[in-house]
Amino acid sequence: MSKKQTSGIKWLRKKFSSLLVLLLGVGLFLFVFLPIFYIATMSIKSQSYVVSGEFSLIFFKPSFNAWINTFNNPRIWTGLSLSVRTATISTVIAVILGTMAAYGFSRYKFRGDDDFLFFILTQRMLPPIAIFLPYTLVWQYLDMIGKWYNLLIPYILISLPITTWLMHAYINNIPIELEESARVEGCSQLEVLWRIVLPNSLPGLLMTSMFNFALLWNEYMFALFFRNRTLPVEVGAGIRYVELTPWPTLSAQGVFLMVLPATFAFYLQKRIREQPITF
Amino acid sequence: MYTLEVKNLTKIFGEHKANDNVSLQIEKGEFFVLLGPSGCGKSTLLRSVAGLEIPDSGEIFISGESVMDKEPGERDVAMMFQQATLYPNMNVFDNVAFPLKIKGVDKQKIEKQVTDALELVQIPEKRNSNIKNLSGGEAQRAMIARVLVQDPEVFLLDEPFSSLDHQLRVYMRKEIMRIHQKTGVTIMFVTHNQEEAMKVGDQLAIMNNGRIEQVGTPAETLQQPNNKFVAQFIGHPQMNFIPAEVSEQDGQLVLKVDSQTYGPIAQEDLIKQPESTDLTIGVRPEEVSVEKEKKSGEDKLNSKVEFTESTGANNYIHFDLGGASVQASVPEIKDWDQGDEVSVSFNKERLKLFDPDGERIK
Amino acid sequence: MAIKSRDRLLKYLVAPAIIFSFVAGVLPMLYALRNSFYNINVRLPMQTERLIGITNYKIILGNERFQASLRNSIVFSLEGTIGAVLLGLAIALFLYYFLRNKPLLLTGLSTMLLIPALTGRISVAYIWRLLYDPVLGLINHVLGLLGFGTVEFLSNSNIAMQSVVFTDVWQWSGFAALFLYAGLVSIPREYFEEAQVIGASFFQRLRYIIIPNLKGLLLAVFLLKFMISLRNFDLISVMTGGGPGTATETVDMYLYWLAVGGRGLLSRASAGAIIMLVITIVSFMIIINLYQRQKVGE
Repeated sequence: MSKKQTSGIKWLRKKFSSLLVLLLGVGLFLFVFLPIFYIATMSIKSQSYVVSGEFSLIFFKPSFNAWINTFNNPRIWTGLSLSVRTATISTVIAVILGTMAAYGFSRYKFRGDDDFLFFILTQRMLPPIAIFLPYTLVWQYLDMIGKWYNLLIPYILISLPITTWLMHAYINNIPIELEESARVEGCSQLEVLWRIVLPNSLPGLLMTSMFNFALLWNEYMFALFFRNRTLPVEVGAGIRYVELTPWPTLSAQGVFLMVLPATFAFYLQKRIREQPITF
Repeated sequence: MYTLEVKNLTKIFGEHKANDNVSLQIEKGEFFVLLGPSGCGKSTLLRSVAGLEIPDSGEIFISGESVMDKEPGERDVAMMFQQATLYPNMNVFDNVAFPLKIKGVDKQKIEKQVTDALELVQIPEKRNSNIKNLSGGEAQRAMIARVLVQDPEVFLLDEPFSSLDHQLRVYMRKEIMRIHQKTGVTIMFVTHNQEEAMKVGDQLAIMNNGRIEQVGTPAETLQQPNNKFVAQFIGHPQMNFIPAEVSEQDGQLVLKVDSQTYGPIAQEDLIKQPESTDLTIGVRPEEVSVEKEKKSGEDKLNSKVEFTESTGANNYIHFDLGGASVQASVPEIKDWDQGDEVSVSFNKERLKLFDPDGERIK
Repeated sequence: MAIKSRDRLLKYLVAPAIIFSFVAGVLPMLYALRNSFYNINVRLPMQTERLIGITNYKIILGNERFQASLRNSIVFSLEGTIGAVLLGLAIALFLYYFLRNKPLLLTGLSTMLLIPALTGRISVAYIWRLLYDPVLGLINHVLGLLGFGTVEFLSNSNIAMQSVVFTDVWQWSGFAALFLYAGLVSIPREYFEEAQVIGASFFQRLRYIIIPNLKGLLLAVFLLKFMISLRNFDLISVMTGGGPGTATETVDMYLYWLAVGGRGLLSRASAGAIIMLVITIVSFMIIINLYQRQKVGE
């Protein structure tokens, strides 16, 4: 009798805890999903619906005016082209420099090598305003304020540390014997880098490039300060003066800005979960 | 002309002398084994030959030509590491073809050579496999194929099978011997496993603390060890070492173990005269004969059985002589019990004597 | 000599990054340090530059608005970092305990969790400005349904900073969770099996197995998130513009205003930036020291 009772309680507890897990999971999903869903649906509402005071998450009459407005706005397109240009060029240069350094630090033991690696990483700790203030004088002097390429150096500067760090962690996992084997088999040191190290660190390169691109694509402060109207600056300008632009249009711009980096999420979550990355 | 010659090689890592004035010669077609405990510098020597380490002094010749100014890839050697170093970004065929591709061999030739090599290591059906899908043995075979296609002057193996389980290891060892006999390639093989070394090697070099202690055939190193280190490292079960005090009687040597005497040993059997009275007797368990009761005589020593041991195939009794534990092989284990009186005699012809520096004087 | 060519090549490989970091990172810092002792005003380009010693430091350290912005920067960075790492750990544990063997759900949820981190701060700022909005916001709508009054999340100076911090935690906790999840998975299974045999409770496992094994990674994630938090201009300037008043104004925003937006006092702002730099370096030193000490302890 009592045995039956305990098993009944156990059964209830089991049911209850799996229900709890389900609730937690759904809660977690909604915690992340709802805010994004909210802005996404806002972008396909009509301004008149929004100001009418009606409120529904799902049941409303969709309107694509906001998106039409966004795509008809030439500033969005110039911003997009500027963002693509600066983010791509800076990412490529940072990844090349950072990977070279990461490989060197990973394979080459010299006095103080850890200190030099750490030195590169510290660049990421510089307060952005401390970078901006001296640069603004130099750019003024060189008459480079407002020129698109004034972003490249600060952008490489802020993405180089993460590149070096991630690639260092990644290349450390490639056994050195692979390289030695290739050396004995006739490769020069450069060929080893090209034929063995790079192909085998492709996932790491892809991950690092995505991180950097997302970082720079979203960069706002330097672009604003050095007067480059990249996409975040264009979108941010609208949001700062929210009263002047209709909410749905702002939402559409916000969504437009986040779409590209969000596509990296699927690949990156897998990479991050694969192996712990420490220093 | 030797296929591989190393002259007075020294390599220092910080304070540690990994190779200390090492010289050796390897003839064409030889299966040469570098044997020694871990950390003795044998891998460093092999890596210096490959060009992966730069020696601090000394020279290396391959086919009579100095290779000191050559890159690893120009030395006409091929190397196998502890772990199979298959390139994860290539399939089996591309892995085996890689060294040929680097050397610029034309496609048809590569195709043929790789096919032949895969045939030789008996994995032709795996040519298009991803290397992630190979078993441990298949990976090692693919490695051997990649080494073979290079058609090297010297084939360097750095404990290549030590990460495999015992059965596979024995199997791969036989494979290497088969391939060696079939192709006649010169092999330099590094291992810390003396049993393996004795089985595969034509010539053995026993290393310790960065120096070569002895070079010789397995039989030579077993029967005529240069010194105590070699004597204890080679042979299974291990040689017994018994401390003894030596004195001269009528032009012959007499050894004193504890308070018992053993001898005489003829002067003409000695390689050189002892410089000290404290010597060590070295005798293998199968060279010790024992009888049950106490006996006295010039070449008899007495002790008591401490314990008995049987490996199934061989039986041993252990007893104390001169403070050292000695084991002797016996035909029947059941004849012996703890505490039994035992009278010991040695195969005098095979008995070794070492001076305090470890050098063999008989 | 054979392998020496390798070492030479490796030297050439590390050099560009080091030189770049020095020229583009260190030299400007030195320039800023120099400027902080002068009287440069970008509004008065004709004014002759004059060395004025530590006057800039004296003035700015005594400035209440600078002190407040410093406090805000520290509060935002510290709270946001601790919040994201703790929530991230909770999420990681959830994923580890319940979804580890459900690859489809795990992948789906992980992808979702990473999207906020990849989304720029501008979009995130906008999303939450909308959510917090007293009229259109989802949160106030729900509060209204539950019978509560409207909360002015961003224009009430008492809670504006916390609202911004919460946004930051929302953005980065999923990111932290994935890093920590990787660490959890790499803890040897035997530890958990042993704990199971002993009958350790969940909190005992957390205390004696998970936290000790995850310490290094926790600190690394903390460090990473802290660096991200120090770049907060984008989020806060778009969400609140530093307001209401200066309730959410951080150092970056104040110094920018001081140097460019306001009176053009670039030298004084440089002094402030150098102070911020010193504080940053010191706090990183502390974290890194902790990190290395625990690494030695391992």
